[in-house]
Amino acid sequence: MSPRPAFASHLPLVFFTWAMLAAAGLALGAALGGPPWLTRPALALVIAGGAASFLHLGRKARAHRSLRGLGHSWISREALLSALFGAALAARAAGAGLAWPAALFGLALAWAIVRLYALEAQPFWRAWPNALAPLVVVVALGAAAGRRFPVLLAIGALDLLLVALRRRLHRAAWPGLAAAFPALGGAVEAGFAPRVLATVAALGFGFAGRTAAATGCLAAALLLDRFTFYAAARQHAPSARIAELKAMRIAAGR
Amino acid sequence: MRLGFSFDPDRCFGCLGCVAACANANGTPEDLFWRRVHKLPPEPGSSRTVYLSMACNHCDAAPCAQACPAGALTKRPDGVVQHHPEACIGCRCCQMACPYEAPQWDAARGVISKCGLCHDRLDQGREPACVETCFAGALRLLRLEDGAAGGGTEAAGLIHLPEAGPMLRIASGPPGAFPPALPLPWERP
Amino acid sequence: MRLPNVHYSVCPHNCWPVNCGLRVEVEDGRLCALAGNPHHDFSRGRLCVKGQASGEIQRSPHRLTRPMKRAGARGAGAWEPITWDEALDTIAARMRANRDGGRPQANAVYHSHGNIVQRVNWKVLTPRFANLVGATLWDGNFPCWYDVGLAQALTGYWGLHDPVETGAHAAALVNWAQDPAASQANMVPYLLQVRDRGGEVVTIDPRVTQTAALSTWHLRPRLGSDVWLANGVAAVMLREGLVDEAAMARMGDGFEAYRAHVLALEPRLAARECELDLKDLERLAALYGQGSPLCTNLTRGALGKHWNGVQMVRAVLCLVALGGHIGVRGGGVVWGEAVDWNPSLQAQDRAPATPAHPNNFNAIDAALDSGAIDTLLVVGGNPLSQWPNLNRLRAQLARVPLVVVNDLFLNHTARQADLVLPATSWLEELGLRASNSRIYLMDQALPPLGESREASWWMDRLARRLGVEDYFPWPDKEACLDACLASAACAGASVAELRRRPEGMPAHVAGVPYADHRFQTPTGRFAFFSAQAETLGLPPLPTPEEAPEGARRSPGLLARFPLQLVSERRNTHFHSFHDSHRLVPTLRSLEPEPLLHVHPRDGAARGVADGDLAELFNDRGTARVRVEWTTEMAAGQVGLNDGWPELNLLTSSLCPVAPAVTAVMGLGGQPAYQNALVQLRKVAP
Repeated sequence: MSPRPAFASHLPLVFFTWAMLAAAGLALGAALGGPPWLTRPALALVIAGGAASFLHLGRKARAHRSLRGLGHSWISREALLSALFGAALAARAAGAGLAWPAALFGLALAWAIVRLYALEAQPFWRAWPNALAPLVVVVALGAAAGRRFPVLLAIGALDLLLVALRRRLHRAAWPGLAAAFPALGGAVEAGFAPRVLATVAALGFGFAGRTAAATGCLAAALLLDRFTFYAAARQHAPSARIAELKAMRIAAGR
Repeated sequence: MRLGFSFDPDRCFGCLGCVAACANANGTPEDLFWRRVHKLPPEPGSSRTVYLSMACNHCDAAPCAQACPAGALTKRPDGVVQHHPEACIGCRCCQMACPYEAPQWDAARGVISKCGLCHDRLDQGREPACVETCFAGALRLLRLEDGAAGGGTEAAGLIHLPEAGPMLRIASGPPGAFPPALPLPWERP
Repeated sequence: MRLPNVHYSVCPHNCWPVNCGLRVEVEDGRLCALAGNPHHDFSRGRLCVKGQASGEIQRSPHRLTRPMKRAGARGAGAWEPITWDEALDTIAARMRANRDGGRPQANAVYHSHGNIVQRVNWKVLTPRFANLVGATLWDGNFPCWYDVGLAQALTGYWGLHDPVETGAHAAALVNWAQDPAASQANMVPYLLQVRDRGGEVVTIDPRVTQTAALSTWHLRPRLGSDVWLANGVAAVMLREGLVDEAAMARMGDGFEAYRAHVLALEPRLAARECELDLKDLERLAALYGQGSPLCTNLTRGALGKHWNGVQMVRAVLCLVALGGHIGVRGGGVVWGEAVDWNPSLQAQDRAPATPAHPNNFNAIDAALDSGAIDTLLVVGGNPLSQWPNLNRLRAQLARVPLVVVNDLFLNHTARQADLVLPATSWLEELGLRASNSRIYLMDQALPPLGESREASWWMDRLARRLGVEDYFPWPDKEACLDACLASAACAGASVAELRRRPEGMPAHVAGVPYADHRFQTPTGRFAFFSAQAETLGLPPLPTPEEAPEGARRSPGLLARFPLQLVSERRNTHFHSFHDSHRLVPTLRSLEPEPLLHVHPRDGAARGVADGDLAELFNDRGTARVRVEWTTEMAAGQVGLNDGWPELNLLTSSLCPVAPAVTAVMGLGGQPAYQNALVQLRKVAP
C-alpha cells in the first residue's frame, strides 16, 4: 500500500476558495469607500467560484443536499454564506442595496472558510499562521481596494510576518516529509519569494495610489497562498507519517 | 455501547487477508479498499517490521460526520459511523476531515465509500469480515460500554490521535513494538 | 425466497501442508458468495488474501472457454477457436506417430501446481494417463521440493508432523529457511500458539521476513551456510554432552561416522563460515538439546533450491535426531502430507521401467536441448515463468514441434503454445483434498464454463485415440474418487459420506509420526551415514559445498554481478497462478508489478531510488522491476517474488543432482534457483 497524500488534485477548490476570498476583499473595499467598479468583478468571482465548486461535486444533481449540515458543518455554512454573499452583491450590482451587507457577508464567508479548514486531521492547516492567513489577505485586499493606505500598510506588515512564520513552520515540518514527497516540498519552498514580492509590490502600488495594481497584486498573493496551502497540507494521516518514519529508517540504513 | 477495532501490532504480519476479506464480503469495486495495511520496515539491525491495519475507527466525535454538509454520515447508537451512498454529494470533505484516510473516493460512482464495521454481519451475530479472517488474531472487534476507556494504548504514536475519540485500541506489545510518538512539526527542536 | 445452494470445497491454491476450507453459495449457475469454511479443523473459517480473492478467479471474464489453435506465429497472440475433436485429433496424430516410430517418450506431459489443486489429478489421474500411453511424465515436484525429498529419502525420515500438534505441544519452533507468514498464512496461528505458550519461535534466514518479525529470535546466517550451521550446532551439542548417544546408535546407522565427522569441526570455524557469533550456535544448540520437544519447520522446497540443498536438509534432519525430537509429540519436522490416495491407480506397473527422461531438471534440459521431445502437453503448469533460465528455455521450446497448454487462462507458456485447451476451475470439478489428519471433499458447485472440461475427460478421449481403452474405467467421477479413497489412510471414506460432512472425515494416520523409530531406508534405521548416498556418488555424511555461481567460487562473476538474487514469497502470489495474478483484480491491485526488495545502501550506490523502475541483469537475461528500498534485506542481496517470470530470466540451469540418482531414488533434480548473481542499474529515462 504505497504512501501518497490523500488527494492529488485540489484545483477546483483552490480556484473556488480564491475566488470567494478575493470577492470578499473586493466587497470590503467597496464598503470602505473604494471605486464603484469593484462590485461587478466581485460578483463574477462569486459566480465563477460557485460554478467551480458545483462542478467539483461527484453527484451534482444532489447539490441541494449541501445545506443539510448547517447545525454542525462549516461546509454547509460556507455554502449558505456564499449564496447570501452572491445575492447581496447581485443586489448591489443591480443598483439596489448598500455596500456593507455584501462586505459583512463576505467577511462571514471568509471566516467560514477559515473554520472549515481548521480540521483536527490537519494540524498544519490549523496552525494559526496558516489558518488566519486568508482573513489577513482579505482585509489587506479590502484596504487596497478601498484606498485606505494606512490600514493597508499595517495589515501588509502583519501579512509579511505571517508569511515568515509560515515559512518557518514549513521548514520545521518538511525535513521528514522531504524524503517521501520531495517535489511538493520544493514547490512550496519556491513559492515564498514571489509571495513576499506580491505583498511588497501591493504596498508600493498602494502608496502610489495605483488601486487596481495594488488590488491585483494582493489577489495574486492570495492565489499563491491557496496553492501552497493545499500543497503543504501536512497530512498526519497514517500513510504520510509512515512514509516519514520509513524514510528516517531508510536513511539510517544507508 | 461503542464498537470499534482493537489491533495488536505484535501479532500482525501484514498478510493482507483483512484487506481482501473486506473487499470480498462487501463487494467493493476494483482498486478500492476500505481497509489498508501499512508497512514500516525495521530499524537497521532490528528484525521488527511493523504492520498497521486500519479501516475506519468509528470515532466517538467523528470529524467526517461533523464536516459532511449533506447528512451522508451518521453515527448509529452502537457507535458505527455509517456512510449513506444515496445521500452523498461527492464533495470529499470527509476525506479532508478524517485523520485516518478512512473514506475512499469511488471515482466511477462519484461518491465516497468506507468501512461500515460490517454492521449487517454484526446484526446477524457475526464478526466483521476482516476480524473473522485474521489468522494472527491481531485484529479484533472492540466493544466498549459507554464511559469505559478500554485497555491498550490509545495514542499509539504512529497515528496522530486527536480529540475525535477514535475507537481504535492498539494493544501494547513489548517495548519497541511501536515507534514512539512523532512530535508535531513545530514541536521539533 | 429461494436459498442459494451451499457447497463446501477447498481453496484453489496449492499451499502446503494444508489448504483452507471454502464455503460457496451458488445460484442459477453463478457464484454468489465465497467465504471460509467454519467447520474446517485447520483454517477455522479463515482465508488468506488469495483465498478471499479466489471468487474473482471464478468470475473472471478472461477464462478460456474454447479449445484454440494459434492463427499466426507462436506468440503473435492470434487464436482461432476449434472443436475438442480437432484439438485432440491433432495431438493424437503426433503422439501416435512418435509411438509408432519407436519413440513414445518423445511425448511428454508436464503437470504442476495448477493441476495439483485437484489432488486426485496430481496423484492419480494425470500420472495414470502418462503411464498408460507410455509418455514421459514430468511434474512440478522437481522445481518445488525434489532435493529436499531426496535428502529425506536418503535419511529415511519424512517428518510428517501436524502443525496443529506443533502449536499445542512444541516447546520451541524453528523456521529453518521457511517463511510461513508469507507463503502459508494459515500456519501462523499455530506458530503464535507456540509463542503464546512461552515457547521460543526462531527464524533462520538472512532477510527479515514476515515470519522473522513474529519470531522471538531471528538468526541471520550467511546465505547458503546451512550445513555449517547445522553441523556446527551438532558439534556443540556433542561436545557439551547434550546428546543421548546410546539412543542415537540404537536408532540409526553410521552414528559413529557422523559423530566423528561433526566433532572434527571446530564450532568457532563453523560460526565464522556462517558469519555468526559462536554464542548464537551455542544458543541454538541449547535449544535443540534442552530435552523438551522442538519442531523444525522445513515444509517444502526452500533449502532444496540451493546448490547444497540435499546436504543442508541431511544436516538439519541429523540435528533433529540428535536432539531427541524424532517420534515425539510436538517435535519432529513439519513437512509432509500424511494422507495418501490409492497408489495402484497410477498404473505405475505399465510405465516404462527406465524412463528415458526422468523428472530431473538436468534430464529435462538435456531432453529439450537435444530435440528428444516432440510433443509437450503442459497441464496446469507454467514453465516459461517458473523453470529457470527462461531465455534458454524459450529457445528450447521453440524447437518442440507441438506445445499444448491446458489451463484456466493464457499465461506466459500458453502464449507461446500451438494449442490451448480450456480447463475447468476447482468449483467445476469433483475432487478431494486432505489436511494432516482429515479428508475433505472438493464438491462440484458449478457446471464447466463454456467448453472447458476436466483434465480426465480429455485425457480419456486422447487415450482412446491412442488405443488405450481403460484410462477411465469408472462410470463417473464420483466412482473414480471412491476408488481413490481405497487406501489405508482413507479407509471408510466415500464421496457420499464426505458430502455429508463439511468438517471432513478423520484419516487413519499415525498419532505421532515415527514413534516406532522405523525409517524408510533399506535397513529400516535412520541414516546418519547414508550408504545409499555413497553408492549414488553423493556425500554419505552432511557436507557443505559452495555453489559454482556464488560469492566464494566465482569471484570473477561476482565482480560483474555483485548482488545475490533471492527468490522470495509474497502473500499476494501463489507462484505464477492466473498469469502472475494479474487476472485476479484484488491481487493485482496489491502487487501489480514485480517488486524488487533492495537494501538502501545498494540502491543508493547505484542511483536507483525507492520506487524507481530499474533493470536487474546478468549474462542470462535482463528483467525490468520496480524497486522498493527496505531494511529487511541484507546488503548485497536483492529479493524478488517467485510469482513473476522476471526472476527466472536471471536464474541458471545449474542443477546439482544427476539424472542417474533420480532414476534410482525417484527424487532429486531441483534447479539451484537461489544461486544467481545479478547486477542492478537505473533505467534510462
